[in-house]
Amino acid sequence: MPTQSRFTKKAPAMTRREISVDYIARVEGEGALKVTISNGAVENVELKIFEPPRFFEAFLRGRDFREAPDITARICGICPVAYQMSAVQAMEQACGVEVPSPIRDLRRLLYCGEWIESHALHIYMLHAPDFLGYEGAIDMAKDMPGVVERGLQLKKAGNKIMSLLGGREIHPINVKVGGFYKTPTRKELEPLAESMKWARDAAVETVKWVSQFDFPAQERDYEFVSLQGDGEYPLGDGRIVSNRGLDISATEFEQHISEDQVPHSNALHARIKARDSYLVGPLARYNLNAHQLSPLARGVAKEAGLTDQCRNLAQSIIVRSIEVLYACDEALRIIDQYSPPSEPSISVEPRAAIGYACTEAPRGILYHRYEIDSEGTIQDAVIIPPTSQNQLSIEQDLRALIVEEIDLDDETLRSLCERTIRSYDPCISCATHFLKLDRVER
Amino acid sequence: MVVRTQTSNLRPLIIGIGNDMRGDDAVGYEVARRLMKMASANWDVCHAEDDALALMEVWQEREAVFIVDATQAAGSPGKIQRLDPTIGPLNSIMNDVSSHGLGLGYSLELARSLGKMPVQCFLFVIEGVDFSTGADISPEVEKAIPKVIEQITQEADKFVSG
Repeated sequence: MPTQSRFTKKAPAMTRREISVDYIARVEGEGALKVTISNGAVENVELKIFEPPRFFEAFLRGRDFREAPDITARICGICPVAYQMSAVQAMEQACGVEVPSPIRDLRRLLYCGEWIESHALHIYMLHAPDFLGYEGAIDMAKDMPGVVERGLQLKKAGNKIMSLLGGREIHPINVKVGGFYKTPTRKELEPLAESMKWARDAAVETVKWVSQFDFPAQERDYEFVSLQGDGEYPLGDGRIVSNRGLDISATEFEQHISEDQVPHSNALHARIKARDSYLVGPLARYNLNAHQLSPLARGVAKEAGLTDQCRNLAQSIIVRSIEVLYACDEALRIIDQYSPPSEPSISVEPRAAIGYACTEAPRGILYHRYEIDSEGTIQDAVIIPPTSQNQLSIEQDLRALIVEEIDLDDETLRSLCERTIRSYDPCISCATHFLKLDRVER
Repeated sequence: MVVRTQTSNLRPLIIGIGNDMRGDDAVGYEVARRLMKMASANWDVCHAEDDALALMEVWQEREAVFIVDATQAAGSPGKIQRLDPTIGPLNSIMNDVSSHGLGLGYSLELARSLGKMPVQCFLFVIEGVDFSTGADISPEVEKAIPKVIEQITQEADKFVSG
């Protein structure tokens, strides 16, 4: 397995190098990376990210507040539950209601399904090939079909939860402001328990597998930002905290975090006003909440060699695997203790107000703010996805990497840039398989 | 998301892939939607949105699969191509990933690596021109829809009768 220190190819002498990542996907123009090296120094690192939420913010204005979860679920096929959860909770806060605990538990269970599905996809199909020297999961599957099958089955186990609770696997339709359209009986949840028991074992195997990978010894002093719940690993609620003293509610998000426009991207760069960039996602959650993992997940993390603090971004694949294990464990706990609510939803009457919510999407915190009028018509919407919150940090990591490895040839450097981007599991992670390299002599 | 209209492991399966909020990307979805209304006893229909990876579970039990999807703009909007992915990789034609899931090309190649490729698989791709979020299907692509429906149903019917 290659590590950065083993790369020995050197870049040819030149005055200016430009490394470009052109995004080629079914839908054009979604994201790109451009790195300019001039006279041996990193001149510029620009990550462009296509942000569908911006379109949806405009699309939501004038719509009924009850439509927000179904509309926002369409933003992303990988994390529709996150968008739904942030939307319904923001609307419920605006309307001054709080759902009873059985409904909260079911939402948490649904979220577990999304974490399992999304993390399994990233671990097995996108990230693991980087550590094993494969071009991608297709090549990896030829040599280790059993491992790839395990990843697919793990993903499927998460999909099963989403199918049962969400009504379908992608873009769930059973979630509504105030609860669900239909809630399952205990008997209907039983098959999920069987599936989750298998998935839990597979998750343990996953942690063992990925923890044996060869990781570059690179750490950075990130400001980690995640939710922090009361006695539980964060998923759907909690305060927004950091390792540098941030401790705020979702209502205060925009007071402490700004979004700045940058010339090279239509995405906004989020930063903590008092400081600078920050990191959201599995690594942030783990560093701030490892003590709240289930005993099984903590034990397996310890066996994998992780302490409660991990600042190596490449090791996020281990943390992601531990979160899959936790999600399986947590799903089983919820299913075991489940008692159906008396009604699938509570009544929610609109009022003129602003509602805020932040939940933990697989890739990190997802912030929603809605202003509605007394009729429940949406007047304004703000959606800040995790990838745009990480964008500045990704650029800083890339810059540090390039400075460190500036003598490598362009192809090797490009590959390392790809790997760094994929460690974040951004929504553009797939796109980084398509890199084009241009050399420009000044 | 996969929606089956009927369940049979013997009948050919027609899969329409697309996102109905992304302009011409919706063409496969629209083809599936219209075929569902036709309700033939000779074939089944389903549609998939973003994550084609989930399709492996569906198509691996079928002897014949017909897939409809959009391709990127290349100067001939509405152009229909019929491809046989069992012969070789399609990466040059179909992007193997999108930003929101693993795409059809990727899923087909993964299926090939795992020995889960359908025995007979025919891919009908329709060249799009506008993939903007919120856009409608363009007139050129709209014209291609009845043509591709006719072509696929004729082939699927023949598969059964033949």
